[in-house]
Amino acid sequence: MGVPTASVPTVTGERPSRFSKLLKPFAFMSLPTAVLVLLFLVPMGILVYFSFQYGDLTGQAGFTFSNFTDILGDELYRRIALTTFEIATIAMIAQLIVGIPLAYVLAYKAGRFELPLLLALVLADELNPMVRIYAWRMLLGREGLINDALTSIGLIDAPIDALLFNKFSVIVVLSTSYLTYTVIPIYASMKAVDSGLFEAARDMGAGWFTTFRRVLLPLIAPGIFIALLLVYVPLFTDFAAPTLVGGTTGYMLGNVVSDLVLENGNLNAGAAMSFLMLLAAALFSLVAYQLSRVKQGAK
Amino acid sequence: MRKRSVTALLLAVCAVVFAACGSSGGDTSEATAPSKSEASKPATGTLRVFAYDDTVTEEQLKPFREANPDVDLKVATFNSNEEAAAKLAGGFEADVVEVCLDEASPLLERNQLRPIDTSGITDWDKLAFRDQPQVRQDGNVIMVPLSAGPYGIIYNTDEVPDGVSSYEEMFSDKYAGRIAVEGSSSVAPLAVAAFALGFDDPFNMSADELDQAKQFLIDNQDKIRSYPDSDSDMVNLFKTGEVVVANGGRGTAGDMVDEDLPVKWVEPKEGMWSWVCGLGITSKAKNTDAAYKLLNYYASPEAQAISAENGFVVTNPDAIKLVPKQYRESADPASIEGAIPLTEPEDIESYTRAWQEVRTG
Amino acid sequence: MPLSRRIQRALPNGLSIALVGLVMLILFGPVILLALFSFNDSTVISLPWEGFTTRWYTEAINDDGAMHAIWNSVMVASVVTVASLILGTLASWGLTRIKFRGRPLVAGIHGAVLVVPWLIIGVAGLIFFSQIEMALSLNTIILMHIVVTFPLVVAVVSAGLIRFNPSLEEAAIDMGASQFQMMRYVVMPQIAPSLAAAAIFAFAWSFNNFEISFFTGGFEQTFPVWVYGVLRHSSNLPVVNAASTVIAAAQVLLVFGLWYGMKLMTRKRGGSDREAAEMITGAVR
Repeated sequence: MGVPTASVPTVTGERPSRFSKLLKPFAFMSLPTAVLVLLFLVPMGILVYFSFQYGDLTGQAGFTFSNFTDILGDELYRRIALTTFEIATIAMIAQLIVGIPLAYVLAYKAGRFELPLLLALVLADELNPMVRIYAWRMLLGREGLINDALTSIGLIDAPIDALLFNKFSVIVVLSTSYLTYTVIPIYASMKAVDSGLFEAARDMGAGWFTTFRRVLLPLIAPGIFIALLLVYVPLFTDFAAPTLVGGTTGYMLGNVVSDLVLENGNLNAGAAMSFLMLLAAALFSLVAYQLSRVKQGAK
Repeated sequence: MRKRSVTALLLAVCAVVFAACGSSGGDTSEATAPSKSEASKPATGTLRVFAYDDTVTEEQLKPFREANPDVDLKVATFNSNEEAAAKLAGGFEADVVEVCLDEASPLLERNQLRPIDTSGITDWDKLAFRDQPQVRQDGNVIMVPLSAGPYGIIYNTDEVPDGVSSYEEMFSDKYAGRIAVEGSSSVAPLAVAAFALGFDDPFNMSADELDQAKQFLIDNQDKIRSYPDSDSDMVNLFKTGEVVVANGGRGTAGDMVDEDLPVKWVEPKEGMWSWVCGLGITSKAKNTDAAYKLLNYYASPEAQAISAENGFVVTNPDAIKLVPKQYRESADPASIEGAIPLTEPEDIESYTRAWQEVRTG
Repeated sequence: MPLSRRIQRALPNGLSIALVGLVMLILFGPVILLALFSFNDSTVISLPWEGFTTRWYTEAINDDGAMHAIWNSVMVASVVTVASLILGTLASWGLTRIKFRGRPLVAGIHGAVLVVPWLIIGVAGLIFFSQIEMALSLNTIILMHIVVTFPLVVAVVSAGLIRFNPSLEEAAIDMGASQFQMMRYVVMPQIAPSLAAAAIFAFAWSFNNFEISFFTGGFEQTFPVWVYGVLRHSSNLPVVNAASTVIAAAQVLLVFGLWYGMKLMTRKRGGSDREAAEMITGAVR
C-alpha cells in the first residue's frame, strides 16, 4: 500500500556524502512523518488497542480476540461485505470507463479549455453533499424530471419507480460524487506523457485500442493506482448515499461501522471493523501497486 | 528516518497515552443547588451547553442572556443522539447537556450526569413527565424534562381519503411502494413493526418478538419506498409524491401542513409513543450555579412558551396561557397523556443487529 | 492529408466534445438545479416550482450561526490548505526523489491515512485530545484536518513527480544551477498543475468535512457541522441550500476570475497562455 515510490536514480548533487545521505531524508521527511506519527499513528494506535479489548470507553476490561472473530465468523457481515463490494466495484468501473477518456480529452484534446474544464471538474465537488442528494431526487424521483420528460414524450405510460431508492441510484450518486477524484490523478499522470508517443504508435499502424493498451495504459498505471486508492477504498466506507437514496437496499460496510460506533457505542467492535477494512485496503493497495509496476515494466 | 526509531517513538507515546487511559470518570456527587439568595443573582462565569439546535436557538436564549449579561454562554449543537453520546463518551466537556429519555443510557452507563437537587428547580413539582422512571438513576433525578413530541401516523389526505388508523393498516397492499418507515435509528422501525404485530412492549421485545418484527419488515420490504433518516427527508418524500403514508412525529406533520401539503397526523389504534427531552448537568460541570439558573430558565413558563412554537409539547402547564393560540393545542401536555415514552431498549445491540439484517434483506 | 486520416482526427474531437458535455451535464445538472431551486418559494427542495423568492438568501445572511460557521470553515480550510501543501510537497519530494531506509513503510503510512474512514479518525482524534487534555477548538479541527489532507497532496503531487524525468534535474545541477534554482525553474513548472489541483482538493476536503470536524471540534462550529445541526428542521434546508449556492458561486467566481485576470495580464506582457495557466493554478486560493 501507499504512494508509489519511483525506482529512479536520486538527485543528490555532485558528490553524495554520508552526511547528505542522512540529512536529506531527514530534511524532507521529518516534519511530515512527525505529524503522521503524532496525529495519526498514536490515535489509531489507541483504536487498535481498543479493537483487542472488551468493555467500553472508560472501562477497558481486558484483552480479547472476540471483536475480530465475531465479525469474521458472522454470516451477516459477509453478506454486507458482498453487497458493498458489488456496489463499490460497479461504481469504480463506471468511473474508470468515463474517467480515463475524460482525462485523455482534458490532457490532450481540450486545448485552451483544458484549465477551465479542470477547474470546473474540481468545483463540482464543492457543494454540500447533503443538499446535493435532494437534486438527485428531483431528477430520478417518481415525479422527477426524467420521469416527467419520458412521460411527456410518450415513451412510458407510468413513471419508472426503479430510478430511485435502490442499488442503481446508490451507484449513480456514488459514481458522480467521486468522479473528480478518479479523473484528476489519471489526468496528472497523462500530462507527464508526451502525446507524440501516440502519434508515433499510430504512425506505426497501431489501432486506438492497441495504442491505449500498449502505450497509454502502462504509462498512466500509477495515476490509476492513485485513483483506486482515493476512490475505490473510500467507496467501501461511504454511508451517506445508501441512507439517502438507497431505499430499503444498499446497506454498506460504512453503515455498519457508523452503527456500531454511534448507535451501540461499541467502539471496540467498530475499531475492529475499521482495522479489518484497513487491512483489506492495505492488501488491495499492495496488489494494485504491484500490478501498476508490472504494467510500467511491460512497456 | 530509521524504521526502528519510528517504532520506538510510537511505542513510547502509546505507553504514555494508555497510562492516562486509566484515570477517568468525573464528579458524580449531587450538585448543591444554589441557595435562594444566590439563585436570584445573575449567573457569572462560563456556561457550556451541548444540545439540539432547536433547543438553543437565539430566540430561545435571548431572555436568559438579557437576565444574565455577565455569563459567557457557549453552545455546541448536535443532530443525532448517537453522535452526541459518542462525543461526550470520548471526552468532550460541557456543563449542561440535552438528555432525551431514548438516548440517556450511554450517558448513564458512563456516569456522565450528576444528580439534580430538585429543590433548586422552582417549578419542578408542576412539570409533566417528572415521574417517568427514566428521569431517575438509582433514585436520583438526572434530568429536567422540558419538551416532548408524539409519534403516530402521517398520511396524505388526497391520496388516502379514508385515512389510516393503525400501524397494521399502514402496511396494507393498497399503499405498496408508497410507504416510508422512519429509519434514523434501529429502534423506531422495529417498534413500528412490533406495534403492527400487537406486541406489548415494543421498546423491550423478547428475542422471539424481535425476530418476528424483523421478519415483518423484511416481508414488507417491497412495499416500503425508503427509510428516511430526518424530518427534512420525510417532508421531502411526501412533497415529491414518493410516499403517501408513514410513521412520524406530529411536529413533522406540522412542518408539512405549513408547506400546504394535504396531510393529517393521527394517533394509531395500537398506541402512540412520544419522545421526552430535557436538560441535565454533567458530572464534569464546572459552573453548576449557572447550570441551575439555565435549567430554571428553561422550565419557566416564559421559556416554555417559546419552545412551544416549535410544535413541541411543553412540560410546565403554566406555560399554556402564554403560548400563541395556534400552538396551544399541540403544546398541551394533556394531549399526549398515556403516550409511551420513547426509551432505549436495554438490549440495543440486538435491535441494531435485527435492523442490520432488515437492511441487508 | 488523406481523407481517412482527417476523419480519424475529427472523429475523436466530436466524441471528445460529446463526452465532456455529458460529464459536465451529469456533474453540474444537479448543482444548477439546486441553484435554481434556492430561489423557489418552498421549504422543500423539490418540484414543482412554487414561485420566485429571495427570502432564503435574506434568511441566510441574517443567520448569525450560518455566517459564523462559514467564516470558521473558510479560516480552517485556508490554514489546512497551506499547511498541507507545505507538508505534502516536502513528503512527495522525499518519497519520490530520495532513497532512504524505511521508505516503503513511510509511504505506506501516508497511504493508510487515506483509507481509514473519517468517522473512525474523528473518534480516535477525540479520544486522543481528551487524553492529552488539549481543549477542543478550531485548532484541534485544523490539526486533524491537516493529518488527513496532506497525504492527499502527497498522492497527487507524487503522481506528477514520478512521471517527470529526474535526469532534467540532474542536468540543471550539472549546468551549474543551484539546488534552489533547479527547484524553482525545473521542478516547480512541472508540478504546478498538480500543486494547484492538490490545493483545491485540500480546501474542498477541509471545507466539506463533517465527521472529523464534529468529533474534534469544540464550541466553535464549522459550516458542515452547523448544517447537520439545523437540518433536523426541514424549514432550514432551503437556507442551507442558499448558503451553499453562494459559497459555490463565490468559489467559481474566485477561481475563474483569477484565471481570466492573470491570463489578461500575462498576455499584455507577452507571456504564453500555457504559462499563464500554470501561474494561476499555482495561485489558486
